[in-house]
Amino acid sequence: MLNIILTRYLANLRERNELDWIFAPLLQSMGYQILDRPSQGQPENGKDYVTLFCGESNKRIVHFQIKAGADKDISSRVFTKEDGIRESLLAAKDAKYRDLSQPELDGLPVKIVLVHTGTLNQNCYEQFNGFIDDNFNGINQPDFERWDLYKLADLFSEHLFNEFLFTESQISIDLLKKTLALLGTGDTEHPYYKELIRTILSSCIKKDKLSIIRLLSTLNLIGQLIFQYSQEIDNLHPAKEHVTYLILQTWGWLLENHLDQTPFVIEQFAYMFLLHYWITDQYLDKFKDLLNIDNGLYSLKGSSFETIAFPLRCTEIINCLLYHYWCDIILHRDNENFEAMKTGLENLITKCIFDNVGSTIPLFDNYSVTLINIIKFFDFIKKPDFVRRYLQEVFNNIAITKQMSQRLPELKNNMDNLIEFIANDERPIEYWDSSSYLLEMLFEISLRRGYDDLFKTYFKFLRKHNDDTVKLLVYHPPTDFIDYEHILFQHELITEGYTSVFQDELDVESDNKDLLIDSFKKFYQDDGVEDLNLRTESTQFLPLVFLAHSYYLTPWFPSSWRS
Amino acid sequence: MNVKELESLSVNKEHMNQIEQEVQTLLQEQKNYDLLDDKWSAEYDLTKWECFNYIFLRILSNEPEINEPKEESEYVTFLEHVKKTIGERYPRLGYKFKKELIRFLLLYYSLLYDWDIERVITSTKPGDYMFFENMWAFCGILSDLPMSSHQILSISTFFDENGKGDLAIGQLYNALTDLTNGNNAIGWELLDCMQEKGDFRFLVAIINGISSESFQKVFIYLTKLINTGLGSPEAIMALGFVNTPDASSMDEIIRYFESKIVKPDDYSIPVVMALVNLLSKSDWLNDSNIAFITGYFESAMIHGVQKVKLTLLDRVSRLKTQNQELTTEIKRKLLLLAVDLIVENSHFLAPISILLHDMPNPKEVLNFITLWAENHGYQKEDEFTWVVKESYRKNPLEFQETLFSMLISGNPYVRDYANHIITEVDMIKGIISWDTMILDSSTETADKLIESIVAGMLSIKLRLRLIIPLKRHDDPSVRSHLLQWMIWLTHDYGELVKAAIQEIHDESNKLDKEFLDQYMSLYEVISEIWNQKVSVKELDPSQTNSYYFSQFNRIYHKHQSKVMNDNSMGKSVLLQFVTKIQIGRGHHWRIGANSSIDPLNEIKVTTPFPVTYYMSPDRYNFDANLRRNRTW
Repeated sequence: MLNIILTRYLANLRERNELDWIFAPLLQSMGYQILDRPSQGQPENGKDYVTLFCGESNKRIVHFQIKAGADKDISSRVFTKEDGIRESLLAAKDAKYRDLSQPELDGLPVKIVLVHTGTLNQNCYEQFNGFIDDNFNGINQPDFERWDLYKLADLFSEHLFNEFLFTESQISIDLLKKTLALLGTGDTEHPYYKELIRTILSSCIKKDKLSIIRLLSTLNLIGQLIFQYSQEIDNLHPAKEHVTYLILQTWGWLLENHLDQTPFVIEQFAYMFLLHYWITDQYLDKFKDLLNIDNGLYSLKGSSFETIAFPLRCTEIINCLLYHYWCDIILHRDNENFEAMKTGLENLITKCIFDNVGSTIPLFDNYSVTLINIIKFFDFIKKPDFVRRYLQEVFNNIAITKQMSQRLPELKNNMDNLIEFIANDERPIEYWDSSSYLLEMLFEISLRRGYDDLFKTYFKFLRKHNDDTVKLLVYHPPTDFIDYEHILFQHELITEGYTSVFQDELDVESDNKDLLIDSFKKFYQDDGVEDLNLRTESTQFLPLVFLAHSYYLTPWFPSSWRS
Repeated sequence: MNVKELESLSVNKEHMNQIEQEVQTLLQEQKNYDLLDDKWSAEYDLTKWECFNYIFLRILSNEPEINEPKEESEYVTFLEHVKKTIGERYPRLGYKFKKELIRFLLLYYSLLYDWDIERVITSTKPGDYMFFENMWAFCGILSDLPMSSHQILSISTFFDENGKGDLAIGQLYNALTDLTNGNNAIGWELLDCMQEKGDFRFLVAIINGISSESFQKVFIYLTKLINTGLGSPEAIMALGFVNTPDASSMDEIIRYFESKIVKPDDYSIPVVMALVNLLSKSDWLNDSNIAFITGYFESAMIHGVQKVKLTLLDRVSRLKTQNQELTTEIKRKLLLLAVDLIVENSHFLAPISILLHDMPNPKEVLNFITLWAENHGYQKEDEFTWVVKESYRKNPLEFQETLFSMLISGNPYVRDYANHIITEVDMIKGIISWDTMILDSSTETADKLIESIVAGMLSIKLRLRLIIPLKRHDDPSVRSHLLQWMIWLTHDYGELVKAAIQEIHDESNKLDKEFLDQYMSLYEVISEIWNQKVSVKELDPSQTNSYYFSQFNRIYHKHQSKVMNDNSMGKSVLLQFVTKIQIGRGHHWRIGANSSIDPLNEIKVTTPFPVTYYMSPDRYNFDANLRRNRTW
């Protein structure tokens, strides 16, 4: 079964570098030592990988030449065209590999392997074999081997994915099949997929290099398979969701196992990071024309559900844009067009925030994550006016909803309760909105930035709700969080940590707004800030912290807006 | 009725058979009662109705289930059988025949057996339909029944007390007036009886009857009652119903009201009823009299309690005088004083609508509604609908002119009511004059009109039809404003707008077509965005959030169905968008042949909510309220 999936996957690779991400680990897994890997897309003398193979009886230099995409099937045209296979193989034969630092490699026998993700066409069979007979496998000639689609699938199964995916129990492969089968259903939970990832990660007992490489390659393959399937169904949303979960779980596992500073691990994980970046890029590209128009993120197909779906979609896409923005700063800062590209993206994000009504309508209390994301972004691009305008919009929308529907953002972020409230036009018993982390942040940020007028306008109105006083909450991470950083990437923090509460019945009744300000300021000044130096923030993958908060919707910690 | 004559009629068998044949034919053929044969009664001291009914009784008495009553207690049962038999044998027999027969039967048996009529009457239970049958019969034969004044009052009181609240009781009062109107003696006897019992409920009816012959005596009698305080309210009211022989007697009554009855800040129903009745004889009223009456009315409308106001409006709404101009003027004054009336129930609106209907032109009708809206907010009155329709029919041009000024009113309630009125009249019928009129408006006025109509709740097509003539407005800024609104509407209502515009497009001239083409090019841009949106699966909740999408739809549509079936929500603003369609087959639906096919549910809305509504219903409602409530 795995071979069928693999064959299909390999055959559909559109870019050669898509294959690279799992091919290098395959070679390592098979015992090849990679000596040289010319820059991607620019084969040097017909060699994509130069490796050293140390067998039981002999050592040899093995050159791998990779053909994928349009050149994957060997036809007469592909074989004989300029820079085609024939020319590449001859170039590889002629060019001798030399590494002055490793003189012992000189004189080792050479083997050239043509790797292609297709098959040898019947019309080229004789021509190709004749060419090989004339130029390879003879005396003083390099050996030659051809790995086609089926051979590759066998090798991947046998050497790379056997440990974690193609196991005897078949559990993982069954979960993968179910995952792929359910990919286009629009389901948001994907339990089989989550179980698959957890199963694979937990089955990695040995932490030796080969096992880690196989583990990360397997996870990469799953990510790529999902991406490819998503492309086929022309819906990248599942790819974004699945691969985000994958990358966060994997990074959490690496942190948990203290592998976050290990170079070969970082190298392998970088593939996954880039895959995820590439998926978000493609995903956002689907909206490129809609991001420039008013309420472009509103769906015409959502009908009445858009009341909920539109605001949620807005925050999801804004968070995705912001993540992409933070990644771009790391990945493209050396690009000569970086500033122009960055400014363009900043304008696009700003427009998306202000021109989509839904982006400033908090439905759940965990909108606080998006709130901090947006404020951090505006601070970063030095637009304090935008922060004020944004806060004003959010306050206004919360106030309107309270006024018109007697509803504040739901504390427990429970979708069922929100649906029942809106669709049924009746407050469910279990709808919680008498406490709020979000409102505390909004009021505190307003005061910290000197927007006392916002505080004065909304504090009393929003806190008096359904004959009760809304309690303002602040979420603090566990005191030993620094030792358990990985949990931030593994799930939403609900039971961990603690909450401090601002609850002052007398103050909310008071008409003396300055007194209210003083009282509230005292609360948050006394509340304190944890000094967190996350290990992730010292790596090149620091946007993952942003991603973890945005994906699991764990509220940002006070240090995010208090420091 | 001469009972002996009836008996002699039955003796003449040959004659009897002949009449019986003719009556049978009449009964079977459903002939008109005008065709009753005069010849039947020629030989007897009987009316043709008496002949007919007597023969009819004889025919009925042959039916096995009918046993003629021998004493009072058997009468009601007998009558029930008669009615039942007629229903079965002569199902198409006219109402008049049945009614005349019932009167005849009551009188016939009463006279034949010398019955105590009170025993017959009181044997029926109040609330029973036989109660009213008997009352009707009693009123019709009152003058023919040999009864004492005490008996008449006793029976009348029985009817009045047990039939309270039923309009049919009015005939009892009329019967008493008729009885006493030509028979003053019985009238005074009845008055004495009433005074004896201290119950003056029939005073007005009897005074009305006897006063035509003895004004001074009646006047003195009534003033005496008023002075002694005995039956004072009824006496005051009766004073207004005295049949005055001339203008001076009328003046005497008015002066009496002015000097003895009416006190400052004291407004009562009897006075109101009396004065309205006096006013109906306007030819005998001098200017001073009229000034006094209208002055009282105006003060009562300002300072009176609700019941007094309601009585006044009700009475004046039915007022007819010899002076049409005066009547209209009084009605106009009262209407203007009623604009801020607190409407406790629909009884208040009926007289107001009648008064409104009597206003001679649409301008006055709509000006009243303007004032009404200013005082009553967004409340709409169904009672005014027929008046508005009638008014529009009378003079569409003047109606539209006044409605136009309502639509651009700075008061949001007035604009809202004007929009509501548009739904009640067929504006399209007089649309040509409308088009011309709005084109002559100033830039500011035209902009206000656009805003008023677009922000209203009319159908998309009607909204567009009413404002689209402004595309020919001299000021280009008006055209831009119009185009902007059309685009916003398109964003909200999609193809509905395009379809409406295309329909209008077909009847446009070249200049208009340029404007509409301009719109269509913008529509293409919007349409392209829609296409893009539809093609992006990542935007479609069924592709990204299918579980919650279906869960929401299930609850939402269930709730909508409940709301639509719930009468308590009948006047909800949002329901104006909603019409339910039940579909029995297929899991998809679409409206007409052009709209897209949508999934789910058997009940749907036909006119979609605006897109902006779904973005955030709370915000939409909030903004719509702000826009609706804007004053300018």
